[in-house]
Amino acid sequence: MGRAKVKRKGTSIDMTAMCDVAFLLLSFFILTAQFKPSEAVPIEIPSSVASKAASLNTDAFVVSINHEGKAFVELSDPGIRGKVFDEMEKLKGDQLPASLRTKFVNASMVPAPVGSLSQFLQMTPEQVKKTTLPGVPLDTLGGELKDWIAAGLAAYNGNVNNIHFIIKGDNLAKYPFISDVLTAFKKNEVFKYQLLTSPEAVPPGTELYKKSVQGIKQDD
Amino acid sequence: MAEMDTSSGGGHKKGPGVKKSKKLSTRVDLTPMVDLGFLLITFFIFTTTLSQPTTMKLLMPKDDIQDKDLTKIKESGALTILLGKNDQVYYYEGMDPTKLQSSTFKKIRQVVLTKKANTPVDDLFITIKPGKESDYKNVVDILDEMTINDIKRYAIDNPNDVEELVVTRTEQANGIK
Repeated sequence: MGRAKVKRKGTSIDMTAMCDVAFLLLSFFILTAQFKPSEAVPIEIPSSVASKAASLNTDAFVVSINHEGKAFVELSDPGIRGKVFDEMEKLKGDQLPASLRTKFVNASMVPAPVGSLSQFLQMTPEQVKKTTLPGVPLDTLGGELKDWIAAGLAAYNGNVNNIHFIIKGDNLAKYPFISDVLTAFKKNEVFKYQLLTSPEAVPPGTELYKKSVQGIKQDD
Repeated sequence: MAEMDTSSGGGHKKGPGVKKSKKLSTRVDLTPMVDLGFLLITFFIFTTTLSQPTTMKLLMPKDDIQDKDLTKIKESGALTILLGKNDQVYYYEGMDPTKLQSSTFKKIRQVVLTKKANTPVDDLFITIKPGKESDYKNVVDILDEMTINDIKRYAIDNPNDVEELVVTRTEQANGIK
C-alpha cells in the first residue's frame, strides 16, 4: 500500500511587498520631516507641562535671551519690521540711517545696539556665525529693549492684543536678565507674555494629571 | 530566514546516474532589506522631535501699585519659595525668613502639596523669589510646579535683603558654591 505523500509546503514568503512598504514609509517620513533651521543665536528652551502651541509665525514679538544673558529681538512679520524700523528712527533719530531699512526688513532679528546696527546688518550669514553678537542693550531700567518694545507696539497701533509677546529664554540664562526683560515690558505697560517652552509630559498622580484624565483642559 | 530548505532528501529522487540540471533561482531573499527598512524608520522616528514648542502664560502686575491694590496675605497661608544657585530651592512658611529650610526641585512638590492640604483654599498664597544666581530654567520649573499642583494664587517677586542674607548663609553652611 502506497503511503499518501504529504506535500511539503515551502515556508518561503514573498518579501517584496513588505520591502516596498518599509521603504515607502521611510521615504515618506524623510520627505515630510522639517529640518530645524539653523539659528544665529542658539537657545535651549526649558520644558514645561504647558499645552498651548506657540504661534511663532504670526504677529510674534520674540525676545530671546541666550545663556550669556544677551537679548535679541525677533519679529515674525516683514511688513511690521519696516514699520518698527520707522518708529525706531523717530525715537533714535540720526543713529539709524534710512539706507538701513531694506537690510533691517530682510534680517530676521535685531542683533546689536542701535548705534552699531549698520555694522552687524551688513554681515553675511557666515560672518555672523564667526562673531559674537552683542545683542540689544539691557539694564535694570529696560535699556534699549524698552525702545524696541515701544516701537513694536507703535507698529501695531498700540494694540497689545494684536501682538504675541514671547519670551524665549535659555535654560542657563540667569534670572536677573529675565527680570530686566520683564522690566522693559512693564515700562511699556505690557503685562501679558508667553514663555516659550518645549512640551513635557504631566507627571502622573499630580492634580494636573488627574484633571487631564478627567478631560479638563488647562487654562491657557 | 523566510525561506526554509525543503529540498533535503530530494536529491536522489531521480535516481543515481541521472544528472540534475541545476536551476538558478532568480528570487532574492528580501528579508534583510525589510529589516533594514524598518530599522531606519524606527531610527528616524525616535530621533525626530515632532513636537512644536508650547507657551506658558505669564502675567505680571504693574509696578506702581496703590495700597488698596495690594494683595493681602494671611501669615498662616503664606509660603515663600526662594531659588538659589546650582538649582537649590529654599522655602519658609509664614513671614519669618529665618525659618528657612533647604529643599530640592524633587522635594518641593511635597512641600507645596502639604501646605495646600493644611491651608484653606482662599488663604494659600505662594511667593516665588528667584535669587540673582538662579537660572531661567529654575523659574520656569517652579512656575510649572504651580500649574502641576493647581495653585491658584502665586506671584513672582525679588527677594529682600533679609532673605538674600539668609539664603547666602544657608548656602555657605551647606557648602554650595
